This record gives sequence, structure tokens and C-alpha cells, in this order.
Amino acid sequence: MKILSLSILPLSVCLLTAQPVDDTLLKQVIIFGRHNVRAPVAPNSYLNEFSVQNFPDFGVANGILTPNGEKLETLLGGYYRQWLTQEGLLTGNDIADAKFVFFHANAIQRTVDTAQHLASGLLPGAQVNVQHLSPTTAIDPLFDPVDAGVAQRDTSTAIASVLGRMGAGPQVLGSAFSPEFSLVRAVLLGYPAGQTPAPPTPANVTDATDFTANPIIVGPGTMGDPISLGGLSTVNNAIDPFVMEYGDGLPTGWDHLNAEGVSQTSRIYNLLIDLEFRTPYLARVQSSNVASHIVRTLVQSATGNALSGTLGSPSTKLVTLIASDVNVCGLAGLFHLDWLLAGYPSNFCSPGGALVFQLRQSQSTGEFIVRASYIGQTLDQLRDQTPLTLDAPPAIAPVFIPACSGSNTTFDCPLGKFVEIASRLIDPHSADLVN
Amino acid sequence: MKIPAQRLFALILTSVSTLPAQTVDDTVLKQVIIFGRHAVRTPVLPNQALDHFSALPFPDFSATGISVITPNGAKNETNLGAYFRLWLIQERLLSGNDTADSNFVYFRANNPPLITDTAKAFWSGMLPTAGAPKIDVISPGNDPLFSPVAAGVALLDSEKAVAAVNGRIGGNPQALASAYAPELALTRSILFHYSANSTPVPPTPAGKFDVTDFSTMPIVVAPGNSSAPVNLGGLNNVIYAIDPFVMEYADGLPDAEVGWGQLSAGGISQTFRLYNLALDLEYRTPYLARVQSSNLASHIARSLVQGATGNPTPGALASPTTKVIALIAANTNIAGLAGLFHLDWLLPGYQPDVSAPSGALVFELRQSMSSGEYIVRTSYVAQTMDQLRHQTALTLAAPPAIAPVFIPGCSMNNATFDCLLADFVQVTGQAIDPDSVDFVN
Repeated sequence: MKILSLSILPLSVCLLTAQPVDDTLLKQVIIFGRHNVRAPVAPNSYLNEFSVQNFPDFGVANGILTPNGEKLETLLGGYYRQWLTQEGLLTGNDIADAKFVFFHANAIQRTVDTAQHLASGLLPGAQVNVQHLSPTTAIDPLFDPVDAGVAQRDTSTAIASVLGRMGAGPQVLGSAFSPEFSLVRAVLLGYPAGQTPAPPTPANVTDATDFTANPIIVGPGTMGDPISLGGLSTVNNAIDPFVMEYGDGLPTGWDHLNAEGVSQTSRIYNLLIDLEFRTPYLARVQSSNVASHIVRTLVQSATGNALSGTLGSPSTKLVTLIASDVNVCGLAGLFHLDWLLAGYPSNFCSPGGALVFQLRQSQSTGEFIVRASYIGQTLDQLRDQTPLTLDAPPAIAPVFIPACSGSNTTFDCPLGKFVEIASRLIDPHSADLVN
Repeated sequence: MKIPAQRLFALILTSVSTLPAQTVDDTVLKQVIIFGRHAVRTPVLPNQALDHFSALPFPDFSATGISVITPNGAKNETNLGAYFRLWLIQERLLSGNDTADSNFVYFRANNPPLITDTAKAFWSGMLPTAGAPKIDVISPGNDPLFSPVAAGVALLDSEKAVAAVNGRIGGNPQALASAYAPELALTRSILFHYSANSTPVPPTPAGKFDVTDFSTMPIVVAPGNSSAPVNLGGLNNVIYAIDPFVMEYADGLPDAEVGWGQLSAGGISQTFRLYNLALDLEYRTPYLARVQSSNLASHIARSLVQGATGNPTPGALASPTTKVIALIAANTNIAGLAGLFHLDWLLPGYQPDVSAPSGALVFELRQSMSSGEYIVRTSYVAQTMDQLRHQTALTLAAPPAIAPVFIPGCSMNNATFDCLLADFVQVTGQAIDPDSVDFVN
């Protein structure tokens, strides 16, 4: 059996098809990214209720992009610059190139600031205008279509669609993810993971993983949150800082967490996002508008004809949308896209990470294709602020688009087919045609 | 920002109060399709092969032969059949007169002895006095319902299969090793019999093969063969090595023989994430689910339509008067069908979407007495790990674990996630690949 299995590798190599020469040219790219490293969303005064030691100070207010986050995003922009210049989409003349880019960010500081720093890495010699709505007055229909009134989410169906993924009840998540909750408890309460018996909760601390006191439920959501998950949301608040601490170069989990531990606690974060944003009903309501805009933008670029419901103009070469993990993961859920970057759990929307859609055209046939990938800095590239180059790129996962991608190594998907599957997946009642 | 207890209560109360008032269930069960996995079995490799992977020899089960049902497995399957009997009598689909009822029952099993034996044990629980089980086994060889590719009904493009899986993991299968490092570390500690917390980890015992060492045998995504749609290289060995743990526990082997005394039910559940991963990649990946599960999905949908209309329908199972359709196959089949419809479930003690031994996806065809409308109600039903281990008798008062399942694009927001038959047919039509389906009854 051993010998048989060892023969797999050469077999796999020889059975892979000879890849045809890639004769495609990049015509447009859409980068749909998450903000980079930020301070925790919750204030330390809240977080410290869950831990025996105080959470670290990030030096900026809650939810604000950190100076390191800004630097990291500029590094990422520098990588995109090199790549897009190599691809011939950018010329290296930033002022000239800036006429063909469209930057749009959700109307909060961390996403706008991320977009600005991405732009300063991408086009360092130009001033790029990052379009965004007014933070105090407007809700962006691309990123929060429900609260913006473009999409309607039925609360009962939202709850049913999530409950119906875990039939025996949300509390069962406590046992299904018990290794992760045990690790989180150990880190928050400051004892070695795996210690038995686990020590009691100190008197002045709230055990975020105690689902008897604070059950995991599936309840109606609030603004920005499609559903409430009760105790799971609390745990999520308490672990949210860990990835950011690691990415920001801070001691992580009071030095109890290495990258692997951060990745393991992030599974809980992933679970929450999966339930709230990838559940098919919720992805359809919440991500149809951004999906529609992305698809129509690709079509607009391919045809050269101005369309409604698009981003930028027919001549825009680079479209950048910066929002949150919930948006990027939601869009992935709608299209059933999966990825894995080394060191992260599957489908993790990492700080600065982006779904990237390339519109390419075959020079021989004229055919347009869509090539999707997920690009993000690894945990260590974030922590070490590693300069990124074509030789030392961020982690890149080519992504297969179900029912569309072909079998080549970049999983190319003909534009016509992409439009067809998108129209099956998008809920037309949850999308607008506003540019 | 801390949620005070009162607010939490209010939240729960709000959540209860905003759920729509559930209308009285005026539906009557007209037909049920029980699509189950085989019962507890012996490992799929002989101990002499498995023992290469472990410091101590794997335990013997009370049955001899590889991948055969154990006596306890058969008993558990009969217990489950007996539960369905009670439930279906309560629902008035069965009368309790087994011989008469057996005329309205259709059992079909994939051909290996394990699966036909499971079907027989299930029959013995459901229809205990109906005489010898009547199990439809398509012979010789591959049943197009369960192995449509091998049967020639569906065509699997190997290159696309490899791409579809690779394109879910960034084309970097070895990255799975770090993503699943905690599970692999636990697996190694069980197999080589040391404490899960040992640092540094002890070396591989002389003469043994470390299934978690992917430098010698990398995780790959390569073309598969007749039994697997893709080949996952080193991950396959991990699956072989952990596969016995669930069976050891469920078969009631002494504690000292469950992972050599080192695995609790929780630990088994954790190692099982690796098994789930392999099933997810090989059977739930959309392209693979579509090729491998369309024929089964088509037959299920057509059987429900046949049951509702009373008209014989091509590509349906049994006849319009059939009340119970029991299909017994493997976890690969259940994972595939669930993947095709994007169905998820979670039962106590298991990981999400686990196909437990004997566990089944259950599709109920029900008719509203007031409107005449037909609905499909879906659930996943399985014994818990402890019900299996203790061979717990199952009754309506002490049932197996039951997860109502929401069918995306179809289910409504009532507590049982009912889905109109017409919508189910439409969703099925969108999900299946018509070129991977036959119309054979």
C-alpha cells in the first residue's frame, strides 16, 4: 500500500494536461479587499472583562486602521503595482494611469484609509481620489444593501436559513468547536492550553466561552449584523484582537499564541462569518448588489459600452473596492468560492486580503475570460511587514468558480458563462442599477 | 458593550416572538425517502496494513473481514429501523401490519455485503414480522444511483475534477497540513501513543509510517480511480488511519481499545474533521457533487413527484403507491447529495455535516389537508455516538438525534423548513446536470 501511494505523485504530474500557452491580455482588474490591520472594534474596557490581563493598546482608537496597517496596505499596493505593470495594465506613469483607476471604499475610517494606502502603493506618484459616501449620513448600498434599502432581508427566513444548517440547535456548536473554545479560554484566562482540570474563572472575569450563562442562539440581527448569535458573538468579540495583534507586530494573546494558535482561534471567527454571511439565503440578499456591480463592470469593460449598475467607466482599468471581511466572504459564499492560504483556515478573509477578478482577452480568439484569485499577506508577512515583490509575492490562491471555470491552472471562466451563472445566483430584487 | 443578562433574555424573547406564529401542521405524510449510510463496520483496511501507522496494534472487532458490518452495527441498525417503524406508524404511513406494509416499501442497497447487510438489518427493525428482507441490489457491479460514473451514466472529467478541488485550496494541497495542524497533531499522538501535549513530540517509532508526515508523502490532488474521484495522496493515509476510531467507539469496544485508551468522543470528533475534509473535497466540491450525485437527486425528486401525482414517472424509484423508499449506501453518497443541494446539519457530539454510521437524510413528502399542496420536509437523522456505543433502544420518547434541514432556495421559515414540492423540483432542476442522469426506474 505504501509503495502504491508513493507512486501517486509522478502519476499526477504526467497526467496533468499540457497547459496551452496563455495568450490572454489583462484588460481590467477588480480588487475587492478587506481593510488592513486595525485596532479591535470593541473598546478595551469591554474586552478586558473577558481576560485576566488587559488587552494591549494599539495606539489608535477602536476600529481605526493602525499605522502598521497603513504601511502593510501600501506594501500590498506596491505588489499590485509591480504585477499590473508587468501585465501591461499600468504603464508606470502614475499620473497617466490614475485616469483609469476607480477606488471606492465603505464609508468608515478603516476602509477609506486602507483604500488610500493601497492607492499610495499602487500609484505613488499620483493623487487618487477614493470615492466613498459620507460616513455620518449614508449607508453604502454596495456593502450594506439591506440597511441602505436596496435589498430586503426577511428576519424569519434569515433565522430559519441559519438554524436549518445546524438542526439540533446552535448550542451544539459549543461541543463541535470545543477544541477552539478551550484554547480561547486558556488564552483569555492565562493558563496553558490543555491544562486539566481547566481552572475556574477568576471572580472579576466573565468567561466568554461559558455558553450556559450566555447561550449561543440564532436571533434577529441588528444593523450590520444579519442575525445575532448570542454567546458566539461574544467569543468572537473577545478573539477579534488576536489576528490584529499578530498582524500589528504586538505580543499576541499575551504571548500565548503563535501563528498556528491565531489560525486555530480564527476558526471561530470563520464559523461566525460563514453562518452570517455565507449561508445561501443571506449571501443572496446581502451580496447580490456587489456581485451585480462586479459582473456588469466586467461586461462594461469588455464591450466598451457604458452600462448602468457598474463601477467606473468603460475605460477603467483598475477597480478597487475596499470593505470588510463580511463583504468579501459574503460574495465568496454567493458564488461558492473557496480558497486556502498557507497559515490561515480555509476561506479566511485576512486583513488586506482581496478577491481579485481579472478580465482578460485571448489574443487569438478575442474571447474574454474571468480569472479569479484570492490574494492576501500571510500572517508572518503582516507581522514582519515583509516587502512584497513579484519574486516574493503575497500568498495567492487561484480560485475555481463553480459551473464556470475550466481545468487550466488559473481556472479561467469565459465571461459569457460568468454572466450566466451570476444571473442565476444574484437576486434581482436585491440589486440596484445605480453607478 | 457587554450584553447584560436582561438584554440577552430580551433578545431571546424577541427572537421567539419575532418567529412567525407557526401555523398548525395540517400535513399528512404521504411518502418518505430514507437515504442512509451503512452501519458500524470493521475498518476498510486489514489490521496488518493499519498497524504500519500505529505504535500499538489496532484492536480486533467482533466480525472478521474488512469493511463488514459488525454484530453491534447490525443491532444498532435494527434499533434505528425500529425507531422509523414507530415514527411511521404514528404518522400513519405504516399500519403496523408488517406483511401488508411490506407491499408498499422499496429497499435498495449498493452491492457490497456491508451495505446489503445494513439494509437487511434496517428492514428487520422496520418490518420485523414481514419475513425475509426484500432488498433491490443492482447487479452485477455498479449501481447507477450510487456510482453513476462507474456505471457509465455520468462522465467525470478527471482534469476538471482535479481543477475543481485544487481551485478550492489555492492549488496548494500541502497548505491543508498547516490549516489542520491541531487535528494532525492529535492524530499523530493517538497513533504513536503519547500525550497530545508532549513537547517535543517523540520521533516516529522504528518500522512505523507517520501518516501525518507529508514531506514523505505529500497531500496532492491527482486524478482518481474507480473508487475515488480525485486522489488526495498523503491525506488518504490519514483517513485510513483514523477511520477505525469512530467505529471502535460506536461498536462498543472497551475504552482501552478506543484509540488505545486515548480518545474520548470529543477527541474522535476532532480527528474526524480530517475525514470530513476529505469527503468535502471529493464529494461536496460543486463539480463533483453535480457529476456524482445528480442521478440520485433526480431519482429522489422524480420519486416524490410520482408519489404526489400517482402517475408512474420515468426515472423514479418503485411505484406510485410506494410509501417508504429506503436507499442504503455510503457516506460519500450522502455527502455528495448534501453538497449538491448545499445542505448542512449538526448533531450533538458530531462535527457539522458528518454522515454518521447508519445516519440518514430523510425526505418526507407531505400533503396539506386544507390546501392539498405538497411539501418536502427534510431532516438528517442519526444515532448519537453514545446511542451507538450503548446500543440504546430508540423510541418516540427517546429518539435518535434529528436535525431539521433547510433547503437553500426552497425552504420556508417554519420550524421544519418545509419546501413546496414544486419549488423542490425547480431547485433540483437547477442543481443537477441533466447529462449525468438516467431515466431508469
